[in-house]
Amino acid sequence: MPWAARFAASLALVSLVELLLAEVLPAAGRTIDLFVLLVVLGSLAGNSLQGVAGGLVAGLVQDTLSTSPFGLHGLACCVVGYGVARLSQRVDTGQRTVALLLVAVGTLVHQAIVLGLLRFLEVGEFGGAVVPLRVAATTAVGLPGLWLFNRAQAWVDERRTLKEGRARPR
Amino acid sequence: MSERRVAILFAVTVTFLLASLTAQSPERAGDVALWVEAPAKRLVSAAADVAGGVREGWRTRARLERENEELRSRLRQLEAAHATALGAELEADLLSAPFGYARPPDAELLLADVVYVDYHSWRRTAILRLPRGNARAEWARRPVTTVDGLLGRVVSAGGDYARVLLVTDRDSSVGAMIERTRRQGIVRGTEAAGVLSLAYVPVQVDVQPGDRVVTAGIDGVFPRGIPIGTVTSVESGGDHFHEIKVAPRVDLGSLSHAFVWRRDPVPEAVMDGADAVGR
Repeated sequence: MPWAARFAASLALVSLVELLLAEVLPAAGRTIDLFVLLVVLGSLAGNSLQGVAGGLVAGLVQDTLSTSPFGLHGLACCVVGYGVARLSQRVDTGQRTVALLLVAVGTLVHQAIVLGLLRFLEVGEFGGAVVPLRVAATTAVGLPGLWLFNRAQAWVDERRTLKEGRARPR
Repeated sequence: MSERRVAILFAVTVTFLLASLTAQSPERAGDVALWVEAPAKRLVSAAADVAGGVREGWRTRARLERENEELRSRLRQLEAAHATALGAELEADLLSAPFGYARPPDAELLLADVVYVDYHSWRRTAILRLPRGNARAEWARRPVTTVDGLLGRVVSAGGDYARVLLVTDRDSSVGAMIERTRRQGIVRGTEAAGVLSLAYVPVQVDVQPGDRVVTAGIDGVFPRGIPIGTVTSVESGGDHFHEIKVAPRVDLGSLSHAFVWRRDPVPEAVMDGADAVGR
């Protein structure tokens, strides 16, 4: 399964969960940023171009689902995606701690960009006090997310290996 | 795709998104437009200033070149005149040598402020303010001139001030001569302010309106050659002398500074035995 298809499927799932959270647990929906988590995890598995594209698409979808100015999260996620993709080429993302650290930093950068742009544009209210909570919650959710991501990655690799084994001539 | 191209794509995307976001905020859109527009306008303005400066510089240069050429021409004329004067001086020295004539030493001039002028009333005088410590009683009878010509002579001095009897005063008399013919006479003030008379010039002497009148150096006070004025009219005043009117060279209505000559006049003791000319 190509990266784009996996990312698109994950994005659809995240969008669905976000919508459900907004209906069922609005507080959790406001605190946990699943789109950033998706962008970070997607960028860990992809290259720089995939980080930019994934971040942009995920951010724009988030903008569509929220009431913020269109392009706000697109810009923030794009920066996070590109940055994480570049960083993942320099650090060992196989270590869970490093991956979680990248999630935390990515969420923090995302929140800083969104907060800064909202203040600059003077188009909406955004409480800076919620940022630490959001970073902590998203990072906490990143732990099972990372486990799921690794499992999915392993499953994909296993399927690929199996497929290649069948295709190998006897 | 190379990392460099991805970086460019990333920068373009971020810029586009920023522009899109800014466009959604009218106030910020104006600020950002101004932020982008201002340097461009400054650039255009600076370019216009530079172009204007260059144009003005060329005009100034052309004007200065013209002035320079005129001044060079004037300098050539003055150099020629100076050479002629030097020749004349040399010739005069050569001619005067057999007679044992020695020119008096050059006088030192003292610049003074004109602080009072009265050239209309009965007593036509001016008061000068001299540099501190220079106004002394023995300075009476010192000649006073301006850059244009003769002003008068010091009649009294005290403190930092000196009173000058103007050449147009009725009591003033100066040994003078017509520069063109070297014929001597006496210049006196008249009833009319600003009109001098040149007396004792015989009717046989050729005098024309426009002739320059200068000091003759024969009165014991004034050195020779200081311009006094210009002949304005010549009439027959009797059987012996012309009646000559002279317009003073110095404009008494625009005095600001004057020069007091430090040249010592002929001592009083010597003058007591001389004629009354110049006293």
